[in-house]
Amino acid sequence: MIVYVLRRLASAIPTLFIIVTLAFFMIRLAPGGPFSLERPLDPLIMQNLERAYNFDKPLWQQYLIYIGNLLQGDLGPSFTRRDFSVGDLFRTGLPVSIALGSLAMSIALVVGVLLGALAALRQNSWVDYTVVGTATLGITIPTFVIAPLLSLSFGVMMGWLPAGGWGTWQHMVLPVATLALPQIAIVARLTRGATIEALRSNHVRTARAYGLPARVVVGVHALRGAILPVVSYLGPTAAALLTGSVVVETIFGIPGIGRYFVQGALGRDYTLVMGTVVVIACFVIVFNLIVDILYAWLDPRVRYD
Amino acid sequence: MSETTLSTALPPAGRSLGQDAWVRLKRNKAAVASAIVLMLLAFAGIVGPYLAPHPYDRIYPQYVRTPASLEAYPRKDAIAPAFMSALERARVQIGEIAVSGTTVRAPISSDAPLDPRIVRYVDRSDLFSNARLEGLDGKALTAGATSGTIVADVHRLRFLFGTDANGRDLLSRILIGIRISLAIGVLASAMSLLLGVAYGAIAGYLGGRIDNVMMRVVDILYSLPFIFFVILLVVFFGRNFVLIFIAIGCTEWLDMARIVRGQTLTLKRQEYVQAAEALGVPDADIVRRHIIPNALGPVVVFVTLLVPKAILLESLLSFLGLGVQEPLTSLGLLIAEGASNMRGAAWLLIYPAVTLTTMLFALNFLGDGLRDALDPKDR
Amino acid sequence: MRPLMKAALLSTAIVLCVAYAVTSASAEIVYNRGNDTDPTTLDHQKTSTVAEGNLMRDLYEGLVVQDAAAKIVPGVAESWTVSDDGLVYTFKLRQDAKWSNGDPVKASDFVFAYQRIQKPETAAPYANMLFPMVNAEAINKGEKQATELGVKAIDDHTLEITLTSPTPYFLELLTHQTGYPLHQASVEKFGDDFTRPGNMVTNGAYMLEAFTPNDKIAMRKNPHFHDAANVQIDVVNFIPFEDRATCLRRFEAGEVQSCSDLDNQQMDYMKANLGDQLRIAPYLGTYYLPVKVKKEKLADPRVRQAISMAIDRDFLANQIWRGSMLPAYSFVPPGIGNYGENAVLPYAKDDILDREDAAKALLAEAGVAEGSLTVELRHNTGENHKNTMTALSDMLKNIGISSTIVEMEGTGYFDYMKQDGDFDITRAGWIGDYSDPQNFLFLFESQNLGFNYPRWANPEYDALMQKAAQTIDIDERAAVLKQAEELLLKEMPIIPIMYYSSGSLVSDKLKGWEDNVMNVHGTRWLSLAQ
Repeated sequence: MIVYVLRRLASAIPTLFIIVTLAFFMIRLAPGGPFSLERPLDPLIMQNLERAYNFDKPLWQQYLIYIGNLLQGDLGPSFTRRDFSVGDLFRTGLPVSIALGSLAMSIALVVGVLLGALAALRQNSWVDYTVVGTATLGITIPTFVIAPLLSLSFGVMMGWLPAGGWGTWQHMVLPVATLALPQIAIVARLTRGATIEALRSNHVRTARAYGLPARVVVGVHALRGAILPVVSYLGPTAAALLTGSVVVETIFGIPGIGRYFVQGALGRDYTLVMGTVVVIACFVIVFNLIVDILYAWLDPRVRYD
Repeated sequence: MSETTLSTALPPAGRSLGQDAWVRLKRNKAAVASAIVLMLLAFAGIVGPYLAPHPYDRIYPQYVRTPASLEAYPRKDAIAPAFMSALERARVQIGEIAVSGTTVRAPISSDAPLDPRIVRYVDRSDLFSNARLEGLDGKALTAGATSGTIVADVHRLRFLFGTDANGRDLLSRILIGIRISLAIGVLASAMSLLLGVAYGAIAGYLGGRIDNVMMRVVDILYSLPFIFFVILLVVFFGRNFVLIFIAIGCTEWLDMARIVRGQTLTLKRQEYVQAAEALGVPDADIVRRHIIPNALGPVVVFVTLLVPKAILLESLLSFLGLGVQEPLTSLGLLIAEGASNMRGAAWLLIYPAVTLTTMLFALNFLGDGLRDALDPKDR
Repeated sequence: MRPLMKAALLSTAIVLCVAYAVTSASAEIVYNRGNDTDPTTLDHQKTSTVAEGNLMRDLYEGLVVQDAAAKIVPGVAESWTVSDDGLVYTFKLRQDAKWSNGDPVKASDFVFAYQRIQKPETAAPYANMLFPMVNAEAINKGEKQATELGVKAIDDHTLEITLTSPTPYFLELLTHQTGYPLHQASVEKFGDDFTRPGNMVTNGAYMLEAFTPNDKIAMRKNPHFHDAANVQIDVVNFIPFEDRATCLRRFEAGEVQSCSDLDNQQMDYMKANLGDQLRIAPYLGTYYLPVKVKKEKLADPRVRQAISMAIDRDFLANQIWRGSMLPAYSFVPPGIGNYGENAVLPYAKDDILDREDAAKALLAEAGVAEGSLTVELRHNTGENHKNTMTALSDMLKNIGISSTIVEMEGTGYFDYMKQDGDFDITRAGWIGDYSDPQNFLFLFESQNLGFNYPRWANPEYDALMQKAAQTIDIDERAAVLKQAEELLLKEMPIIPIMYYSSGSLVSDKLKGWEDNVMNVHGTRWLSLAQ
């Protein structure tokens, strides 16, 4: 198993390298640059700026400089936030995004699996219909509608929670809810489908025939099989959640890293965009690996040599 | 060869996967209802804009942000002030304005002879039409007269869903939005279907080193954030309807490729595929005739889930300001506009949101129904 | 990857603990102030935007400052004299001016700052603001040494600035953030890191405490500030709001006491519910449409004039922008300093229908048949530009000009216009840096390629601008500038359509906020009722 993990991590390095290279040249192809502001700069001043940031060098040279720095763990300076290096920005932003994302994920997992299993056990009852109906609704309403609605109702009208901002646990409630709601819905639907299937499967039927208590049958045998699709869904989702959400961060004014990507791309902050790409790619790779390991653990049929 | 011909002869009825699934799908009430709803929505999107009472890009300057109402506009008490303000622009003295039924009249006078062209000030208003000058005696105005009566018909307009910030009918905009959103959903899915199925089937069937390389490419693309890709496309080519579904299709085909590859790996070990290989059928034919048709079940189900996903992705793009171009619109764009008008003009959010939710509901239930119907274990 | 995850989780835990600690209430007066965005940097010489100006105004004090009403009052300089030819300014610095670490503010701090901003390696985007100083431009080009700048410290408390030509708005210029001093010792010690909390030394009413990107910039009252006794607010947190609606919600929830901009979509709601807390004041800014005059179809000034005539500015300002803009018939906004009566388009008062007739007649005269002209209306992504262009398109239809709308994403958009992109008509906005018509009219000088989006070149206009620069008498200069604006309006390479208003939300509890045309509101003039 350890050999397998190491091999996977080793193979991630060329993948990352290709991603970085692709992203570097793609963003450079976009028209405009980090100093193209609404107020144009004097051409003279523009030259001074470009020299200060190595933009006057040929692209391949800039690429080599970037890769060289990256190998030393230096993500470079940010062009649009010049008091910070890209590393600084992630050091302050990543914990925030991870806190929000992991909370939302845990809630989605627990609540979603419970609701899904409940619906599956009471298939075609009102419980089932309610869960499926609510879940579908949860999937169909975009975050940019839910977020301001929650902020308005709980923050402005009722005044129970902060309408936005960051700092205390109260500030986390609404953004976590916004992030968790659609995920709860999806997890519940996945669990429901898989549980129904698992309940019909041979090993669960056998367990029942042996007279094991229903609690054990459902809790251990059925859910264990049913959780597989949830796990494979949550892998990439976790990577996405932990690296922040543009919509939620913008609407609640949260200092996570989700906004950096869009801010960086629109402001042509090349290094910031590259940094985000690297971080997101790392998360995706790691979570894919975690999913595969969990799979092996949950499903004895899967083996890695 | 005679043996192969024999083996393809149809066995007795009831074996076809498609027919079987169709029967089971018809038994699923939620799926049937969803299919009907979807057909209605598609019909509304295709034909609706032609039947709607207002063109989707027609601006009514006097009706900016008008709330939704079953009753026709203008309201009774709004007629006289609007008539007054229209006439003031004509720079004439205005007497008492009388509103009776659907006509409005006012005596006017001026120091100079009345210019018959002043009726256009009234006609220009969205509230009135067919303005005309009459003499005080009710007959046509004589040339050179300095006083007379101006008469106009009140133009009744209905905005069932209200109007937007530019004074355009929201119902008509929702209809065109349905068309665009459905088109993006279907086209993006079709695009990812084509790419994903071809790619996945080839990778899975050829296997080995090629499979490894092809799947590594998928992994790499998977780790590139979607928004990155879209922003770049928009930045390069400007915003464009075609671009949006290409962008969404290009990011959604990765899942599809993985699913199809997995299916193919399983199918490859089936006896009939191995038999075909043994008979020397070319690889391309095997992929086309055996692999793709047999992997279609899960693919169809995935597509029904992909359509709503594509529609939602488009709405995210609209929220970021990277959506379709005016005067066209999409449900996502309408909702994004509505979300910023939540207070003060709630109708701008409610009606598009309800439409989109209905559409996505139907697509989801249809997808579930299809999955159940196509599930071979249930047979 | 493991250590990274661990570190991330650990820091999350720490953040949460700290967050708990911070919530404990204190008796300090804390003002949460909404700002447009985060600054590019806190090095004021490298900033250019209005949002950055708001921050710098609290951190630094220039030779002269703007009071609550944006009137120029003594800052670090307690008095000054100007030579008769208007070229030499001598400032007497106050004795009790101190940096936040207790050091006295010396004339040499200004000399250091003004030399640094012109050095090419500083790459200051707004160095040209101080180009009126002798040799400034040459130093910026790298042709002369920084020490040759026309700024001299006669002694610790006397500063002498020499200009190349009389600049009636020079004191205005000095209120801009480019005119602030720098603490020489800390800048030399920390280099680029001098802006970090802990390193940064400022001489304004406030000093930097913390900067969390996308969250807030916290500033604390500077105990060494010479007027500290009259500074009422202890802590001011500048919170960036990219989304105006978010600021409105937090304002209503009482979490912020002011917002620097308004969400146009919710104008009606705010008017109905916020009463006096909604502030809309005239502002020095114009929303205009550059027209690419090089294009054959738009080369005739009559065509451009016709397009201008057909634009119903009242509808745009009142309906599309819900009263947060004012209809504009000139390029230089009213209320500007050093200017007399504005130049105004002759048809400003005419009815729109009459104007449409006149426009059609003009088009016919220019040989443009009805329906034969199609123009592209291009705009950048942003609040209300789309709605504005949609409405414009409809207005052009009334005079038989058809149009298509193209939306572009911001960064590419401004680059495209700057680099002579192939557009027909676009939109742009200009907010004055200082209250002088020159700051508006210089945009369209023919050699000003950065701003002259229409690529309009008119020797007569250039000559007038030259002449104005050489004129000492204010009234005479105003007359020349007015002539230039009249020419601009006649030739119409740009179509002014609206004047900006500054829109703010100001809580009832926040006292001392005076609406002013520069939209500057230093925190030192404000107080907060608990």
